[in-house]
Amino acid sequence: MNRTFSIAGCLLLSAAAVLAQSPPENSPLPDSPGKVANPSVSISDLARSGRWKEVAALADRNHRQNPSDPTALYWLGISHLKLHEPVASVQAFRAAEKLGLNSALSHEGLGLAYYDLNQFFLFEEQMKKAAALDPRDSTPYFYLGLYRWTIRSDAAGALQFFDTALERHPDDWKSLYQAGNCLEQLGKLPEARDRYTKAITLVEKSNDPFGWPYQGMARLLLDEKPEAALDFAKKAVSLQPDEYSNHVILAKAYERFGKIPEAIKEAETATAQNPSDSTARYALYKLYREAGDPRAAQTLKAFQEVKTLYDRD
Amino acid sequence: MTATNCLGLVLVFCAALAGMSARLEAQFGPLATPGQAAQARSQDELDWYLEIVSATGPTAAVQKVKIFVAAFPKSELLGAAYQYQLQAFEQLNDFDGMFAAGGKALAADPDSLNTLLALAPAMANRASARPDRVQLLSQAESYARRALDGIDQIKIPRELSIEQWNIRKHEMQSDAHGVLGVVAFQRSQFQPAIRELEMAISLVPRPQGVQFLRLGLALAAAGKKDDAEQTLRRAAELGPDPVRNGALDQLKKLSEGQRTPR
Repeated sequence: MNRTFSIAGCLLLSAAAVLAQSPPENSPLPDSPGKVANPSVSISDLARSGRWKEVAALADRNHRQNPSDPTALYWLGISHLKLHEPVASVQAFRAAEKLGLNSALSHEGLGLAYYDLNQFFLFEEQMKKAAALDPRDSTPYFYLGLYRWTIRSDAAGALQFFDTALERHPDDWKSLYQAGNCLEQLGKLPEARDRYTKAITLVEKSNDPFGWPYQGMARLLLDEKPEAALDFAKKAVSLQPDEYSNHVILAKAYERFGKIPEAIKEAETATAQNPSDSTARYALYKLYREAGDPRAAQTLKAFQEVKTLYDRD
Repeated sequence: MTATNCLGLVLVFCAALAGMSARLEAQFGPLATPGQAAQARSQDELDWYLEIVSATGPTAAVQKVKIFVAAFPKSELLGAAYQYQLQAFEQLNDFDGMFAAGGKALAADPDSLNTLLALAPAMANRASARPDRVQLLSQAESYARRALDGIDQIKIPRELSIEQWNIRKHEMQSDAHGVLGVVAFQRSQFQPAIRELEMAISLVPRPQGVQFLRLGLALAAAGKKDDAEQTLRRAAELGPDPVRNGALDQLKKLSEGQRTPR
């Protein structure tokens, strides 16, 4: 295994800022982006510690010293992607591609850079190339599924990709959660519950701070078993306290038990964490109204403003 | 000072400061909102488009847009490409080029606030020196009003906070009202001009000297000497030098008792 590029792959893929969630844990990553000439250990050290500006500077220097080596351009592509400079990232990956670099990992990197530019047609193309070059890799399918769901709101299409990812990596709790979420959207609640349960079992084994399947279970059980829903919602918040939607579901669970002050606190946290989300604002408005809190009117106005400005449906 | 001279003064300063009001930021461009983003259909197409985006200097940008348009005449990115060309022509002070590029950008994306708010002030500020003055003023007014309507209806990316949006919105509204003020002024409609220019100033936390200069000239033209002097003094304080010099020149004329002819 080429250690340098394995590390790069993990760093790149585990922190892809362009997507809502990171890719599957322990996904079988390609060992190398392709034709690698003299991979630089110092670059990998810098990458491992997240010093992306320095990675970019060193890769740029290496590229100037050896313009025909695609490795430096590959690193440039990754570092610019991490630095949220997708134009430069695409240009570097493309230059590497023109020098003959053709690997699953390089196509994934280029695809993510396209995604960052909202160029989804090209993103899909690159992920399909990555999948073709490494048929065992679940990651491209996970990304394609996330795209189908988050951008296209196509739960059925996304589910197919998540199922394909799971065929390659059955223990990937992130794909399991996402598949469950798609099934929930499609109204297939028992199957959704099954996926969430499997994901939770795996998360508990790994101790990974991944609260999404708990949130999913809380949603599913809110009417049927509110006590269990409350426990799941609390667990989701404890695992990912910075995720606003966990606080929204916990607020709803508290509301079921008439714990309005607790519910208000959670809804306020959700609104503070994601001020542009109308569902959190509306939940907070309803709770204020229920509590006779004079802030209800102002919150309703804020909800309407947020909905008008941001929501497209 | 004749009314024509007075208008000319406005034109000089507006032209000198055109870059300060042009806000063609990518955040409102076609690459901003995921679901609505124009899509390149090939890697080559996006490569050429990114050549435009990363062009160094306006002359290069103009040329790269020409190459892009010739190579990809049906690209969904044409509107955005023409916006870059419009901006480049503005930097080159090539109004005819700007007008042509802006027309093509609007043909591709009729509701583009970037394009409307780049073209409208350019038209209003340059109209008096051109034979198609009446038409340009009419178009500038139309574009400014379309921009104001569009600002009220726009959906914004979630990455932009309401606070950030409100600042940006008020800047754009200020630009549009500024255009309506200049248009009214050039039509010798001084009261509406004053109203619009005051609105433009009120919408931004830190109004620019040129905005006070425009308002001062409109007040002077309306015979409101005291208000004009006060406003022109503010313009002189804020600068920059072309604005300061113009404001001081106008103040001197007012103090000498010259009436600004209607």
